[in-house]
Amino acid sequence: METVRESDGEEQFRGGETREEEDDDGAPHECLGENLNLEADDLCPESYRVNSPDEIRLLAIVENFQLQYSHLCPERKPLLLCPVNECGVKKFVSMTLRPAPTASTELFTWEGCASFVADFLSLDLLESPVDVPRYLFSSTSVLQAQRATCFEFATLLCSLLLGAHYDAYCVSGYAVKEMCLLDQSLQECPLLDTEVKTVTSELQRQENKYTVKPLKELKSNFVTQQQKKKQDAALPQKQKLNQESEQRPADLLRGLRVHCWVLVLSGSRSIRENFFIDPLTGNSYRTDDDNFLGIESVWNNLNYYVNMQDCSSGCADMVYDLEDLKMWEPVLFSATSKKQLILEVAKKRGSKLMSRISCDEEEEVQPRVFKMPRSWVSFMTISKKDLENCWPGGQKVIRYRKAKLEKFGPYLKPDGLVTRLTTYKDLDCTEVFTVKEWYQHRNDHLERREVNKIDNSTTERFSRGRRFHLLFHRYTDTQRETEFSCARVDNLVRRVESPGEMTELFEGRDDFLYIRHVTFDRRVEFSEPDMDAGPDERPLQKVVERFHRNKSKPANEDVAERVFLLAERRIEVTYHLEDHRFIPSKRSFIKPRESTEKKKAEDFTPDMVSGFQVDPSEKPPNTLILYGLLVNLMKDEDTVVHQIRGSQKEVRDVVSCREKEERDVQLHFTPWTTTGAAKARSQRREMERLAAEDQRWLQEKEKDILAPLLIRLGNAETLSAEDAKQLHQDCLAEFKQRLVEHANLIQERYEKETQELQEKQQWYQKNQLNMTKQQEEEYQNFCSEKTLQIHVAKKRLRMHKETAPQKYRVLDQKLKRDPRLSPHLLG
Amino acid sequence: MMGRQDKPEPILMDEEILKEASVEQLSQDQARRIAKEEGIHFTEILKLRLEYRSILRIDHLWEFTSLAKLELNNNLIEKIEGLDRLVNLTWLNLSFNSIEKIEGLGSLRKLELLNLTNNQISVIENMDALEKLTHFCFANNRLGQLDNVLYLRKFKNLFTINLRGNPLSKDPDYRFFLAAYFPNLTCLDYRLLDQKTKIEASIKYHYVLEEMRHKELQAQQAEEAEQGQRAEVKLHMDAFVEHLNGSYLFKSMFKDDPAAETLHCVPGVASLLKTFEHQMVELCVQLFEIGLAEHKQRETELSSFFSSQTAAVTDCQQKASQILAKFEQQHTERIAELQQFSDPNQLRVKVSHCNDEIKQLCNSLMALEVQLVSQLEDIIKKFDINISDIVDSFRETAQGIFAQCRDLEDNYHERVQEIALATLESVAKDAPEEDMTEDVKMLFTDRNAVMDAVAIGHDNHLLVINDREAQLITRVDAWKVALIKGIQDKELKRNRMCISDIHRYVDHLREQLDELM
Repeated sequence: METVRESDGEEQFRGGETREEEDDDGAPHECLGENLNLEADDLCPESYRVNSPDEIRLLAIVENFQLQYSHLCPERKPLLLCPVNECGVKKFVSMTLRPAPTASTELFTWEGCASFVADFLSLDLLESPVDVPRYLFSSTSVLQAQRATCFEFATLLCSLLLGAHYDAYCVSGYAVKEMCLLDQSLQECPLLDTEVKTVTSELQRQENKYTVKPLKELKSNFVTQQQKKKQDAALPQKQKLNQESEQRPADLLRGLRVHCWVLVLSGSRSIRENFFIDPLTGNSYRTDDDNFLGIESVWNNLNYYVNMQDCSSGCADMVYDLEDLKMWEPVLFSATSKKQLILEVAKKRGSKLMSRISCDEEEEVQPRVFKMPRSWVSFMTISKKDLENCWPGGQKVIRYRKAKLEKFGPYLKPDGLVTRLTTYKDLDCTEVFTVKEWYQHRNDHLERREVNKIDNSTTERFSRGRRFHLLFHRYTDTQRETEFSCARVDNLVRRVESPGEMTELFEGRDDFLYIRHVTFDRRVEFSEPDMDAGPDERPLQKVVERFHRNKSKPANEDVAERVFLLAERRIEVTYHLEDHRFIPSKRSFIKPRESTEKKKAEDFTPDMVSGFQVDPSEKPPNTLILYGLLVNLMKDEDTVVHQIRGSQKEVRDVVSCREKEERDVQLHFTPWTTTGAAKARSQRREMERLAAEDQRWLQEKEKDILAPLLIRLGNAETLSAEDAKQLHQDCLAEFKQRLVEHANLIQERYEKETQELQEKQQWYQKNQLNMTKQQEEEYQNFCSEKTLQIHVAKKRLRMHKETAPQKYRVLDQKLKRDPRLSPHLLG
Repeated sequence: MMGRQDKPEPILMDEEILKEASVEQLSQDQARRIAKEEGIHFTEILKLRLEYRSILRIDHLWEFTSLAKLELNNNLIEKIEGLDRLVNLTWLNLSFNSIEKIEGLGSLRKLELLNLTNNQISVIENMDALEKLTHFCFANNRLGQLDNVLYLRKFKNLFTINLRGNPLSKDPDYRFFLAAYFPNLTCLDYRLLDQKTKIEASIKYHYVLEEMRHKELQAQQAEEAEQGQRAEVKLHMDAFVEHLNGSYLFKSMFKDDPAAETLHCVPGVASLLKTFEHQMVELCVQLFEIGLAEHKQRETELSSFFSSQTAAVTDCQQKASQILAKFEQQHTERIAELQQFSDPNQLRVKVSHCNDEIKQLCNSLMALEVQLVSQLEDIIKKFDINISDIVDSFRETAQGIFAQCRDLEDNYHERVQEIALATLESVAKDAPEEDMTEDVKMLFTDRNAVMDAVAIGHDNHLLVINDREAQLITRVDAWKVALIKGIQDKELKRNRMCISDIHRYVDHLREQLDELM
């Protein structure tokens, strides 16, 4: 047996070392390692524990290569060739790669694979940041444990990419500290960028040769220069400040830190250019990115290549032609490379066509070379659930520059939170600037909430289809802004409310209204803090409404703006501009006083209207028409006031509705996600259980009518035919008896009442003459009461008579259907 | 109907009654008071109710030009008349009268509802003008012919018909007939027409309807084709190249020329004529196409000019509105301030300040207008130059083509002359070719007559060509001049209007201020 087994001591050593690491994250991994080691023999498939003859041969070749390599290049660091796997067996790295095709569409592209790997695993730091690790676990156990070193990260990602037919390689090399330690705190959060990005859609104006010359803007050159000087003076200071605070100590181990990442070569899956993927973040980089400082070797599942190019100045000038023996030294000489495979497939396709023409087959006699054996890693499965709850433990925290990003799996948080981005004012992340939260599956349709700590505002965004058609809700202590979807009946799209003011914007209304601005009376609010009236009853001071042009009306009849000055009892109307005119027509009405108890209503006179009519040729309207206009305006004023009150109420409703929803957050479970489906199923089961319990309770509650009779018979389990018939008869007879008794009772009551009434009437007849008014009244009351009672009794009796036979029949039927009696009765 | 005997004497519609009715129908006391005090203008009244008044004759309604709704039901009217000036009428109720014939509705083009219930009409007719009719109430009349209802098919918007109580409604097929022939109908005889009836009806009258639809479709297509043709001719006219896309010009050259026809019988001339026609038509088509292209170019030039002109004006309007809005806000504040002053001296100072501000406003608005005028003047000048260039080049091209036409004619003339001379000689030699007809021989005996005929023909041809050329060129020039003048006039008018508006507004403001003093 040439299988090289690492001693337990060494295993312990590794555990000890990880424990020594400052990083807290090391601890679980170590436990896991021990666990795996203990149960390795039971859990792992045989290929994990034992090397096959092919593998042994391969290991020998590799060892030979390593010896030669260290002899030829003594100054270079040792390569990562045959690390130990989780069962303590030496395995060649190329064989740890197993192309893993998956059915999930998410893993079909490199972006999907990369983000999955980056999200799914958490990083274990290398034992020593400058040496290649001695361990490389298989991807299957990595997937189970959800913890990995950067080499295992790259191995898993490379396996997935090879499964998706990318020409991918693991790269062992050197990178900057931030990349090795997954320290993103120098980078801007990518989520922030999307926020800032605004759609810069420049209106492309057609160049018209008749465009009028724009006016020259007169401005002083001197002033602009002065301003520029000032700005220039201020700028360097600021920059200096920024730089100072952001500078970090230089990395002592720069260029020595070992890292492993993935190289994707062009040529397959319509990849045009070679690029790197950092498996820890899932980001792609150009091959000349300055985060990567050097490459020792690259490998895929077919071969292993050692870099022979000089990369002391970074990876910018590297050439990735792996066939070139001057630049890349392969471990397996003349083994098939991926490139050859691709070419071969193309050739085969061509030769298929060719073979029809020329029948003589010229098989190339290839020299027998050693082929890479099959990977020892067993088939890895990535379940849908893994894809959904991609983070280890369902959540992950990433620190960016001045920002912290937290991610949670769906349904993990009871309020549906999936992402939270906290931004800070300073680099040390002590003072919170904004908190952005993304939600999913919430019943109140909340999708995003943003809390700005600076101006103390909260912004909430909703998906369509919730109450009030609310899409957007932003509020501070004083101001409240809401936006609505277009489904509203009143076409309201936006409402801004601040103390003493309210603005509503409309879109697409039939009456062409597009903005309504309300000013409330402030003085009242301050002078008498009468809370009984409520904020609703605050008198309106001014309402301004603006309208779009309605083309079906002439311009000087089409209202552009109306101002209701409620406090001054005035209404001002401005009409639309006529073509080519500068000045609109205007009218101002003073409302005549309404009639009060003391005074008659004030008469409307022509001098209550003043205005400017722009077209001198038009005849000014007479008083009657003006009065008609005023009446309509006053009617409109009432409706407007009514609508404003409605709006105010709605504002309060929205607030209270949101409070209620926030107090009791409900999630809906979509059956399209595994977690959702599981939750939905358990919820349904619970409901079913409750329903069943209810049912049982109801059944028990229903009284067994036969019970007393059965007791009389001695509670026999089975009834004889005779007994059954007897029972049936008895039961019916008893019921009949009871019905008769009931009828008798009502009859008795009726008779009694009648008698009483008669007696009383006789008494009245006698004493009628010498009775006080009060007594007479009493008598009247008594009589009416009694007649009512008699009437009721009579009615009840009649009803009883009507229903009794029916009830009797129903009971008969029921008894006949009873499972205990039915077999005997039918026969 | 019951109380007709009790009613007083039939009354005449006169101004007094109309005035009374129009005042009475006002709903508010205030309005009635104002109407009484100031009098009422018939021209402004929108609706008039004159029911239950024993009116015998419709009269005195000529002043109600803006009337939209007229109720004349339950009267004694026998003839529809006197409605000719009520062009804005949309609602006319003449039910419960004694009308026997539909007439006098010729000018009510906006009418939507016509109620003729309970009259004695037996034919639906004379309603061609009521294109917008939507409701037609005709219950309890004497309509007997079902086919007569088809007259109503021409009203595309009609969706309510009421024919109950007419003799024809006793016909068992009556409902289906109407449902089938009026697919847009929703209400029939006070009832909603249900889908079931409609389907049944369409099955019942399937063939008739198909045929009718086919005919209507054909008529529609014919009309569309005609319209298309008319539009095309209009386009050609606008491009000044009408009738040039064929041999029309050529044919008109040889029209009314009896001598030419005999000449054509001379051997050799016919083929010559053919080539001549071919070349002429080619030239005409060339000119025609150039004309259309030029027309398009002119149109684009026009539209780009107008769009930028409107843009400039709107821009200016916006600026003016801003200035105005700002001024007005300040002005109202100042006025409010003024009203609190009691000291006359202080008041005077303030008022003068206000006046200054008004002057300022006037100045800035005027400056804006002057600026706009100069801008527009510039672009109009530019446009004038450009359009003149376009027109000139078109004119030159056209002239060139017409010159070619003339050359062709000259050429043709020479050849004809040659042939004529040759033929003359051969005739003179008495060795004519076999296939010459008698009258040609006759003609060619007289040398002078032949040469005259040829020369006159030539002159005529040239005349036709020159006429066409002159027509084209004068029309193009006239169009251009009219266009530029129109634009300039409009601009001048706009400018004057604006200036007068500004002055009037400023005067208005000053008046307001004076009132305060």
